[in-house]
Amino acid sequence: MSSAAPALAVRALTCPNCGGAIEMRAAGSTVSFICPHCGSTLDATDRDLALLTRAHKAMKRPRIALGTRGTIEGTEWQAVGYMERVSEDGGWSEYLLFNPYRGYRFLVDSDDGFYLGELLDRAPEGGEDRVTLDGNRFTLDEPAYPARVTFVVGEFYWRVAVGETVDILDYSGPGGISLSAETNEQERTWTRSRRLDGGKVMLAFGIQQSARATRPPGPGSAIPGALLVAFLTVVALLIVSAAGYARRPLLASGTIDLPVDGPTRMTVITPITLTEPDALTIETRGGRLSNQWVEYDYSLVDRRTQTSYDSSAVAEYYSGGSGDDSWSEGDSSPHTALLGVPAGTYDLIVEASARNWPERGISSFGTGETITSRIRVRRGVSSMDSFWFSLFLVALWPGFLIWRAIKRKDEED
Amino acid sequence: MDAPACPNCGAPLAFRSAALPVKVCDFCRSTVIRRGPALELAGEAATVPEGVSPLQIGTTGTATGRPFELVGRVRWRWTDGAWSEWLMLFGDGSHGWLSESSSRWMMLPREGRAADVPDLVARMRGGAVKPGLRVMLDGSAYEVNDARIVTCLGSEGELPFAAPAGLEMFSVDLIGHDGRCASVQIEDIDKPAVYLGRYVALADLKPRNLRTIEGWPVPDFARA
Repeated sequence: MSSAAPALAVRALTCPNCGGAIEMRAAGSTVSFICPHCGSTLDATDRDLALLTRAHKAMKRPRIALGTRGTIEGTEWQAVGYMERVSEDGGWSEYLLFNPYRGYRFLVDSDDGFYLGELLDRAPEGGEDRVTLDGNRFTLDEPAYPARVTFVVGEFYWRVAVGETVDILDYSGPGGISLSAETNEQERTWTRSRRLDGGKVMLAFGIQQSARATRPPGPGSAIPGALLVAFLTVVALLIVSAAGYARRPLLASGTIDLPVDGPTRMTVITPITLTEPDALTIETRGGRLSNQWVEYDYSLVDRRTQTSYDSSAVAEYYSGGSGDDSWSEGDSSPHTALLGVPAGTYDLIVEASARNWPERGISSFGTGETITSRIRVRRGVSSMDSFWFSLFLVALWPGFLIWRAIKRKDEED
Repeated sequence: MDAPACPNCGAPLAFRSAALPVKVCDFCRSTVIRRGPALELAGEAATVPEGVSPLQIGTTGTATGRPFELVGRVRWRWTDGAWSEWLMLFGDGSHGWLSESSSRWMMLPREGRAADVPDLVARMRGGAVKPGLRVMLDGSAYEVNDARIVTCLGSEGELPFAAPAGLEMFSVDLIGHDGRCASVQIEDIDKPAVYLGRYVALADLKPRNLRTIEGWPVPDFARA
């Protein structure tokens, strides 16, 4: 009687709405289960897994796939739930971490970095502006603000629902520790959080590097810092892109009219939705350029986190001479790849300006000519240029190693 | 340890405690009540649904310096969830509860007396026990964290009362200062069961013989 068979950690079930296979990882504690396939909410306290709200949503995948385990400061945790919340100042994500021998923790993934939170079993003492816990004083950061749940998937030990709102009070204390109180009509809960080393969290849970813009190599472009992670990401993306050339659906497009030698114009291309991390290609078609160039500045902004991934491109076309001496150069429809863009909904802010090549006649007041540029955003890496460029990037790291090895050898000699 | 035969199936009933009157037969799941030398059958206890709890009957540990062994368990449910109450049997024959809810553990090793809770009982009679209510228990201030009717889902092992599925109780959780907490369970308002203790991490109990869970190594704090 004292040594029962090992408990099964995972209970394999079927969603009563969509029939998809689901895994419950904290059976016994889990109260709400939101199906990762269809978004329906299931009552985990019911043996038959009663359907509470039926849904047929396209579910986005969290940066840390549910079920992923990671070790934080010596303790292994499994991500079992994921929610997104917004306040006036922006949004953030929270993972519910579980270890059957330790209980639950919250992993907060915000613009500001990663935080590990633990529910307190007691309320700190004091007034609204200043509270004390274990002899440490904590001061209120800002007046109470409401936060709303905008997305939820996985399992939770309480009843969760999109739209749920709580009022949050954040307090800062010594040693980078903060406290927050979340209050709704029924209860007030206190959480103690501390900042984690973001790099370690990403490594522990296998989060891909955030988007990294690639630019055409040229004299001005610096050799990327030789990051192994970036290298591996590029290798992975290269394989993916090489395998899936045909699959590069158009996500969004727009046009922008650019007066030549006129002011910079801006347009927003939206919405760009990625259900999983992927590469994006921004294609421009700058009309018929003739000894002109167009500069594009791109800012891909995550609507939820307001994180922005910046890049730029130049469309140019020059020609001259005549007969056998005629020449032309430049790429009038450059493609820009953004690699490893996390899943999310984005707005692409495009700022562009068109210029005449000075030799054609300097005019800072414009010529009256307008270039209409069409901008398309596609998923995936869309041209062989990008392929070769990716290959070039891939070669950088080994190249750097070889260069360093040769240099060392030279120094030894 | 005496081991009379189960009046239903004849299997030996290993009572660990002379003080606990109820035992759920490990073999046929009959609830057996001891009245002096006589054994009475009180129906079949429902099986506790499987979960990923690290606790099991036979888990030992130390609570406030006193060694204990888990000898029984009752699983309760309310509208928004379910939790387990594990019965801790101490060396001197006294008992307490280790409450396990949302993978948080509340150690309640000390049995209070009804005299500790006149205030609470008086308010209960008036039907005015709600979250936020402040009461005095055993000379300290506590706040009602939640108060609700709970239903038994199943039970196993040795218990101070018979807990058939469907048994209803009024359950009140209270939080004091410095991590102190209390639990009051009332089937009969004249005999409230009061237990006092505090929130703990599993490691604080220096547990041994925890349940092994597939894919999760038993943590260092639970290894001999």
